Amino acid sequence: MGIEIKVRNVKLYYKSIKALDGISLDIGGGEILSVIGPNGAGKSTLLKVINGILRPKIGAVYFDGRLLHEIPQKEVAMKTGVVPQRISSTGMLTVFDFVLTGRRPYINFTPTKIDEEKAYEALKTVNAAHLANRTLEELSGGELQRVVIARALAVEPEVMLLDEPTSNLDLKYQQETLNLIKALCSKGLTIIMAIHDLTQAYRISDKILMLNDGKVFAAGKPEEVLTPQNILAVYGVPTIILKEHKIIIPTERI
Amino acid sequence: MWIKLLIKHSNYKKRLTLVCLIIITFFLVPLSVALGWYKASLLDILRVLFMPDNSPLSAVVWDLRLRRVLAALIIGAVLAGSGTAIQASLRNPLASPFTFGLSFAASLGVAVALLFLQGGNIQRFQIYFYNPFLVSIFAFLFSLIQVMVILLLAYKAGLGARALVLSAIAISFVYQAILYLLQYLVLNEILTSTVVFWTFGDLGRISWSELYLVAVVSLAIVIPYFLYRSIDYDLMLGGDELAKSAGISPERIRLETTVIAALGTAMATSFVGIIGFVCLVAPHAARLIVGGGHKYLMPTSMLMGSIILMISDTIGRTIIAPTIIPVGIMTSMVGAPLLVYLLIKGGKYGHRD
Repeated sequence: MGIEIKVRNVKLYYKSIKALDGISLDIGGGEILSVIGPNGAGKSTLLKVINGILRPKIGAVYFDGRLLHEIPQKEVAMKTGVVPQRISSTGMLTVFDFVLTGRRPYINFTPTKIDEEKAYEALKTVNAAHLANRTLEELSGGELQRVVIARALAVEPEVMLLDEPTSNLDLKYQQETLNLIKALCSKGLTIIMAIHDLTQAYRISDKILMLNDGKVFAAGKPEEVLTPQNILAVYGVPTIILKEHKIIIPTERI
Repeated sequence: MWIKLLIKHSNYKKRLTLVCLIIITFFLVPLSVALGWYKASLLDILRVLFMPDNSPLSAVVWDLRLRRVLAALIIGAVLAGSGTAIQASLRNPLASPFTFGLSFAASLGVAVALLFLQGGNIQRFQIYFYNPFLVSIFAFLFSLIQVMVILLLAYKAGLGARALVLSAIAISFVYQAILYLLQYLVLNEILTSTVVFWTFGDLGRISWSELYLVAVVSLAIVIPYFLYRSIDYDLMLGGDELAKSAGISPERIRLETTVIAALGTAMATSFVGIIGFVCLVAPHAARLIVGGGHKYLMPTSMLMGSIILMISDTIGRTIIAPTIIPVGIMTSMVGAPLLVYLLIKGGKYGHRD
C-alpha cells in the first residue's frame, strides 16, 4: 500500500509562460505532502503533472520507481484517486452513478456487481451512503466534496491527489474532510494536496512544499517551512505563529 | 444495509421502466400500422403482416405503412441517442443534432446532391433518389462541416452552453439561406419543389433500400457506439479533469460522438428530411423518468425517440386523413415550445455558463 513518488527538476511551460520551474519532491506511502503557495504559483499544475495529465518539457516524475509517462494511463488511473478543485454537476447524475465512474479504469463495458460493491463501500467510508440516490445538483457543498472524495476512493487508489479539498466548506466539513484525509494516510496511502489554509497545512502535513512563481521556495517539515520569514517573502503578509497550538495568524489588523 | 436495498430498488425500477418501454414499442408497431385512412381490424393487419397476400390491405400495410413505422422506430432511436450523447459529451443540456444545426447542414448537402449532381428527381409528388449513397454521403460531409464549426466555437472560442446553442441556431439560418439561394438560382420548378418537399420531414418517402441502409448503419455503428460509451458519458458529466485522470481522453470522445451523431443525423435527414426536436425532447423526457445515469438513460432515450416519432407520425396520418401531415411539422409544433421552456429554465437544468 502506498506508492513512492519522486519528482525531479520538472519544468513546464504554458506557451511561453513558465508554470513550473525546476520542481523536485519526494514522498512515500503513509505520508501527507501539502503544496502551498499563492494563487498561480503552480500548485494545480504540479498535481496534474504528478497525475500524468500534463507532461513536463524537462525533468521526470517517477511513479513507484518507474518513469510516469512510460506507464500506461490505465495503470496510473487504477492507482491514483483524484479530487479536483471543482467538478461540474450537470445532467441529473445520481451520487451512486457518479461514484461508480471512479471504477472506469476497471470497467470494460458496464459496471459489475464488484464495481457496485466498491462504490458503495467508498460512499460508506465518507459517511455519504444515505445520499446514494440523490442527484449531484441537490447536494450541498460539503456533501458534494465528500462524494467527490468517495469517487476517488472507489478507484481503490494508492495515491490521492487533492486540489484544495477544504475550500468552499464550512468549519465542520473542513475538520471532517481533514480527519478523513488523515485516516486515509494512516491506512498507508500516499497523499499529495494543494491547500490554501496554512494552519491546516501545518497541522495535517508530514511534509510541505512551498511554491512561488513555479519555483520551490522552501521544502521540508512543517515547522521548518512555515516560518514568519518564509510566509512574508512568499505571500507578503506578516504573521505570528503559535507553535504549541500550530496556528498561523496574520498580524495586520483590518 | 437498507441503503443498499434502496439502490437496488431504484435499479429495478429503472430496469422495469426499460422493459415497459420495450413492450410499448413492440405494441406500437402493429398499432401504428393498423391506424389510418384505410380501416382494418388489428387481426387482419397482423395476418397480412405475417402472411402477405395480394389483397389491397396487404398493399396498404406493406407499401404504405410498415415502412414508415419501421423508419420511425430506427430514426427516432438514432436521433434521440445522438441528442443524449452530444448533451453528455459537451455537458450541454440544450445540445442536440437539431439545435446544433446538423440537420440543416445535412439538408444543404442533400440539396447540393439533388440540384448539381442530379442525385434524384420528383415524379407524381414522390421524390426519387437515383443514388441514395451519393445523397447521404453529401449530407454527411456537410454535417461534418457543422461539427467542426461547433467544436471550434466550443473549444477554441470558448462559448458557454447557451451561447453555443444560440450561435448554432444562427448558423442554421445561414444554411437555410444558402438553400433558398440555390433554389432561387437554379430556377427549375421541378428540382426546386423536390427540395422544398424534401425539407418537410416526411417518413413516408423512405424506400425499402434506403431503409435498409439506415438500419444497417444505425444498428451496426451508431446505436452500439452510444450504448458502449454509456459509462464514459457519465464520466464526462463530471468534467474533463476527471475523465483524464481515469485514463479517458475527453477530446477523443467528443470528436467521435459528434461525428457519429452527424453520421446518424445525416442518414436520417437525407432520406426523410428534417425532423426537428425529437433529439432534444426524448433525452429530457427520458432523464425525468430514469435519471441521468447513461446505462439506463441511453436506451430509455432511444426508445422514447422511437415512441415519440411513431406516435407523432400516426397522429399526423390520422388527424385530418386522408391528408397526411409530415412528421417534421408535428414534432416541431411540440418541440419548439419545449426548447423555449428549457432556455428559460436553463439554470434549473443544471448548466452553468
